[in-house]
Amino acid sequence: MRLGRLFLAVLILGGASAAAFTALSWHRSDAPVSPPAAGSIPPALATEGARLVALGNCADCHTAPGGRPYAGGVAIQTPYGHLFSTNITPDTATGIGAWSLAAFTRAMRTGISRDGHHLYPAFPYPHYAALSEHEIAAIYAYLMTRKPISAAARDDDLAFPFNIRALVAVWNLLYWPATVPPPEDAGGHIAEGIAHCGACHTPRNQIGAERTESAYAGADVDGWHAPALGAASPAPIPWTEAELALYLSGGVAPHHGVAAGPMQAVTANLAFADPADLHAIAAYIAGIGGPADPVRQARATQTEAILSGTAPPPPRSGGPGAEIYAGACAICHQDGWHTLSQNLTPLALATSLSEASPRNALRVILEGRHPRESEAGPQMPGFANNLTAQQMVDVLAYLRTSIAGRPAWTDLAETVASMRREQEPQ
Amino acid sequence: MIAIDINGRSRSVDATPETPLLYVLRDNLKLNGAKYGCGLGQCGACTVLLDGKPVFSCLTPVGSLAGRRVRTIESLGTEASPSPLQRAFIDEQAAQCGYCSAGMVMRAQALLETNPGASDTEIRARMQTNLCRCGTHMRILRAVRRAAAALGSASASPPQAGMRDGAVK
Repeated sequence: MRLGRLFLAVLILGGASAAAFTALSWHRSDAPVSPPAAGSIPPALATEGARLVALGNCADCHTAPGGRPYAGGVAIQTPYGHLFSTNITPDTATGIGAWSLAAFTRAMRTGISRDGHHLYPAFPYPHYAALSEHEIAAIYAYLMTRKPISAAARDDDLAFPFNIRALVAVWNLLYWPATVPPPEDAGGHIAEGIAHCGACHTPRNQIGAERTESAYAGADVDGWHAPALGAASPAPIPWTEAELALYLSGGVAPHHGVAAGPMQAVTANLAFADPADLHAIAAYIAGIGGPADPVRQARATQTEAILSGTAPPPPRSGGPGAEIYAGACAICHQDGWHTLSQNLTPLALATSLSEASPRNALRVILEGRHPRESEAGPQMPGFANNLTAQQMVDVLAYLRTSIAGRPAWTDLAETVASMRREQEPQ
Repeated sequence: MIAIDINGRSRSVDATPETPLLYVLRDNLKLNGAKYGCGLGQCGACTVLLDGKPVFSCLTPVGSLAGRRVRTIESLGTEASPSPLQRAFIDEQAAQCGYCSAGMVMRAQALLETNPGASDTEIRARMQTNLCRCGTHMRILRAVRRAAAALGSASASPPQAGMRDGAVK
């Protein structure tokens, strides 16, 4: 009798949870529509959309290498497997041509596709929830005036249970919308919303949600480290609004270095953004966490004194690292405080040499840094074929202590060993 | 004195450890195949093979070469008996001034040793590093394709005795 009641209770509870989960994860399909007729979209609205799409870096994730713009197919690496970006051109069968503005708005705000299935939060809809109706309409207008391209989405390759899309409903319950209220100033609205800076620069928890309590503390992305921003930035000289705006629009910052890794594509897209918007982002990001603390301020003062020649640079060690630097690096990077060309940032100022991990510096040494296709400019060759693992360790140790004047990295040998295994040198 | 292994021979050179390999090849050893183009790792005219992989010899300090093997274009063939790749460059007349040729040949050599039947896409991706200011890129690509086609079909047969390091000779 008692057992029977227990069984009944379990049954009811189980049934109720299943019903609740179904209610949570089920979303109606939005009826397919015909794409907006040519000429029905106001050009001014589409132009505004172009500005937002550049700020959102949409092209980077939605354009495969060598592929057609916005046709998707980019493999996105996650800790749970690969997923592939989708076609956001107005192709009716394989893109978003059959999506109404209402369906597009729902996807942007809540991560529900037109047919009702859940999109993975690799698509940063928790950020886009901050966008206004008008902004979403402008992005829609821009995308709907692109050339339709037929490119079917590729199947994802995710491990169980992450391959069950309906489970995203639970994730949304926990993490959507973002717990931080959208800031009211223009720069914050852009940075937290369409530009989704935190998607890379904020660390994520075990199931991929941004840890808002550690906003902009820096995070690992695609084998690179997206550095901490604002007051926590490891850069020897704190970022200013002016220099950050310059960096965002051109990928080069005279006192910090050059955009590399995933940030290189971001700055390439931001080159098409409105300079006023970039200044607004720069003011917001440079101000995160308030002014730099006295220790960083003192370091910046010291660094500037060395640059201007009124203080001596850090003492140099000899040995194999110094010899490799002299024979492989110094022809362009000179003594680390001067450079061959004015287009180069002195190595001593490079953020990568002052970060807690040698990862970014090592990746640049292994792969080099190359202009993007159709971009002009000097390249740094990769040294993966030139240097042995021990030589990498030696030269990095020299760069860190003798050029940047920072305490030695303790995890150098392990980082070099693990990254050389990951790399496929040419 | 620094001992380095060049084209299968141990050579002793009088140079400081940070001296670029290119200077040692040209000045000390009179191996003038590799050329000084930019000296900054931008053009590829100085490309040689280090343990079978292409490197810019202008950015390779000679002191970093202990226990490693360097191969230059002098190891491939002679005027009387060019290597298959050199033959293909001649047959396609893939040079105008010829200053980039040795670097081009060595980079292509590294590719074909690991991937004898390399596709056009693979060839273009790999050769991208090396520049030719005369604009003979199309002929250079044809030459590498010609050698790849020849070697790709030959690689179906078992390797000949006497081939070292997978060297294509």
